[in-house]
Amino acid sequence: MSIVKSLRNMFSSPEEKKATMWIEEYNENSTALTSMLTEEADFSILKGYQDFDASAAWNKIDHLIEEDQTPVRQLPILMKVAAAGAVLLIALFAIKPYISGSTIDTGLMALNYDAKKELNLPDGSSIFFDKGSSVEYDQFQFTDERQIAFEGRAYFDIAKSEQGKNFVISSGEFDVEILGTEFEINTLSDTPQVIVTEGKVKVSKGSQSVIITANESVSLKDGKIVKSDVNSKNVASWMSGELRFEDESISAVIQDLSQHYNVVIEVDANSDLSCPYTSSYKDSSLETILEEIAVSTGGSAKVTANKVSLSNVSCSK
Amino acid sequence: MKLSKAQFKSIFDTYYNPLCNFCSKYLQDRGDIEDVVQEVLVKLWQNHGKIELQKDVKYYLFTSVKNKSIEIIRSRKRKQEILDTIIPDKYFEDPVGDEADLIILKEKLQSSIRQLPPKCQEIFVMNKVNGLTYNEISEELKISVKTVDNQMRRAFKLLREKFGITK
Repeated sequence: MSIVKSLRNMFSSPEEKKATMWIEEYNENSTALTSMLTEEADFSILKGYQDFDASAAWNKIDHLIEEDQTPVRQLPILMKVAAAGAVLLIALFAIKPYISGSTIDTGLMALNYDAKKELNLPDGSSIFFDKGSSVEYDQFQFTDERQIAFEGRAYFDIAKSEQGKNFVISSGEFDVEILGTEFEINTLSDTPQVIVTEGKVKVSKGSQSVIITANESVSLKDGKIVKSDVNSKNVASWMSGELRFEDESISAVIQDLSQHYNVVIEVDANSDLSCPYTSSYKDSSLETILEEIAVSTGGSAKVTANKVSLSNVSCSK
Repeated sequence: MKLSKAQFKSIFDTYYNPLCNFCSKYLQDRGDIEDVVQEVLVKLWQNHGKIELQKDVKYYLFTSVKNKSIEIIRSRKRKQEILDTIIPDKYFEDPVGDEADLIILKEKLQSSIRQLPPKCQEIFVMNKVNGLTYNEISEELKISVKTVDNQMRRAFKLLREKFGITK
């Protein structure tokens, strides 16, 4: 079961629920139908009922149905004030996407997301975008080429192609070729990353390339691609807003928090990052979590406009 | 109200055939009928961000098809310069709700019958829709009455299974 699918309900707005209702209301009169299914039933009401070709009609109007870019709501800003000292760094910056050879008049679709949002592609694949992400693809060529340009953070659930055509994502940082799978790409961080949760993915950066499978990740460090194992339970936690830590070291917790909130978390040299930490959160602000960590480790936390820091963490408390 | 293209497609697929059948009450030409229904559905898509539907989409769609159909009948009458022609009362009755429910029920029956195996389907339609007796069907198709009976039982069994009725 894909994470995207199980999360779909969580994120569906009242409008989306209503749309589902519109479709489901069609199924309401099944009691009437059940009563008709007896041997004595008279089906003569079907006399003169005609068949029209809905799929031919759809093909005729398909080009008129263009999905506009969606987002309206802004998520609250997490940071407030600043501090100093650096051990772990995860920074925010975006990379311009590109699709080589595409121009506007070829049906290029460009979408920017200001809020978390899912996109369903014509090939059955779905992409769950974090806010601040964008995607570009050619509407007319998509089904044949399965190529998109992407920046930001998103969780991809890529459908198997009937023609065996691999899905290709260009991110500016690296090219990712999907061999049938679910995975996450994050180019917002200063170590752009691809994490695979299911299946197999080929990641390329210039002449370097590597194939990774479930619970493996590729990061870009100093222009080199580095493959590593993923042990965190909080992969793609930004989608659900849930974070869980069970006897994780503070350093692992900070790593997950940095990923989740896409921020730099600085830790001073006095802190003991090996301390174990257990807790779970749902839609908590970074400030709340860091304060809780500070309280339970006898340290102190500061969250400012563009810096987040933790200091004097110790295991003794 | 926001719809994704996939959601719209689902509404389109669900209501296309029922709306066409509803429209056939007003217009005869299949081309005209499909034009009206497509126009109404495309309009739903174009306006889905602007309109707030209090009632379900079913009434919106059926009512729009009805209004559009009447508009077409009117404009044609005018073209023929039969300005005082009375449009029959049935066009102004407001049974869109019941009418819509009945048509949707028909669509569901029809679409499930469509899924029966071909021979089974043919026999079922002959008997249940067109009212032929088992004997008449057996003569018409040159098969035994027993076979007709078997095929009918099979049809009901498949239909019940399709609707999840255990009997």
